[in-house]
Amino acid sequence: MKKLLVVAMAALLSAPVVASTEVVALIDKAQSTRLQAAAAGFEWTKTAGLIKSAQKALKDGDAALAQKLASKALKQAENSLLQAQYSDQHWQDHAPQ
Amino acid sequence: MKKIITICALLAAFSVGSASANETQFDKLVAEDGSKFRSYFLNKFASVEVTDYVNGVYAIDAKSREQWEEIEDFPPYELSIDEGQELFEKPFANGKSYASCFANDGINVRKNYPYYDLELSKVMTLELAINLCREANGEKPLGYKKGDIALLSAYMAYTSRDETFNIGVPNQAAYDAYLDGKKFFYSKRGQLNLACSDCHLVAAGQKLRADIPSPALGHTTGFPVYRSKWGGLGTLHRRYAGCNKNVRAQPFSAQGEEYRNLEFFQSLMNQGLVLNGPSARK
Ligand code: HEC
Repeated sequence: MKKLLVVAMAALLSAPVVASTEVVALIDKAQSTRLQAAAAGFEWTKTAGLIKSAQKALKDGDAALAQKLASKALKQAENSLLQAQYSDQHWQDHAPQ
Repeated sequence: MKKIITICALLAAFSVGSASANETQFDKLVAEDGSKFRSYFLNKFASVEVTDYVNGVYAIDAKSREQWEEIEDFPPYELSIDEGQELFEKPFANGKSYASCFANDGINVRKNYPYYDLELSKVMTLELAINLCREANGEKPLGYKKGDIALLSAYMAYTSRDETFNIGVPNQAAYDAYLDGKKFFYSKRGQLNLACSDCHLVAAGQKLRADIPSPALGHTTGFPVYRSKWGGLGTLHRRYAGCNKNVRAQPFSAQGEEYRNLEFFQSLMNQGLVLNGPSARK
């Protein structure tokens, strides 16, 4: 019995348990980071679509998929923001000297 | 006293109006940039005549040049020039026409654009001026990427063929607009992390997938262009948006500040080259 319980617990732990409140927060963060990048003029084309798909997945009850998409969107948004900062500091390096 | 101020203001307005006669410190800075910009290409493509850069990628790619020359023998934009002229001459509902909005009735003025408008404090492009003209005469503005605006622009460009740009940088605000466009050009953008300069300077002439990017020197002189891919005429800002999207960067609106400043920068780099719009492209 004890053994069975351990096995069941292990199975539970290995399955991704995604709380939808966490996903909502992740989507919000992706969205606000995307808007920051857009305000700087460095938004990428796919980020908004990823966020939309994440929202839809969440609504459809697939929190795991929503989390995956939102993480991808957040990564993109963060990178586009880094790109804005990089460009701000380094654009002159690319002009013919 | 008031009269003297008015006269001074008038004189100032005149002196900045003709940049060539009255070179500003900003014109000098831009000329320095321009000479480095040109040298970059003249060194890279030693056998290409500087005057040939107005022909875009065909200046440096012999393989596609032949086909392009055949196309230019029977230019696909020829009808568009006529259509543009018709539109240009057709009176507005109020009886006036485009000619009333432009110097010299709008003939051979393409070379004066884009310029920094001191009253509106922004870069004025030909397409923006066309729409301001329409609005001032009670007409609806046109879309900026294709259609009538491209036809009108094509006709007006045609009347300035073989002329050189007559543009300058009259003051600090104009120079700031230039710098903004310059920064745009050298900034990496999009998921592919590429700047305009990565393709149109560094990789100019190299095969990227199926395409060879043209040298940036000469960009803008031949617009609007008839592209077989578009199946029609398109404006420079339509092309800008396409190049942004190709690197998965969110494009900006045609005739928004970003692209107008970019056009200002690119045009200033092309001073001395002749205008040859409209032209044909793949
Ligand atoms: C991934 C490489 C790449 C990047 C980055 C890129 N372009 Fe292009 N661009 C091309 C290719 C390829 C063409 C088509 C061949 C040609 O005419 O250069 C083109 C065409 C053009 C043309 C038309 C040239 C002509 O003579 O008809 C202009 C103007 C232009 N690009 C401007 C820009 C600007 C400005 C940027 C930055 C916002 C930019 N491009 C970014 C690859 C690129």
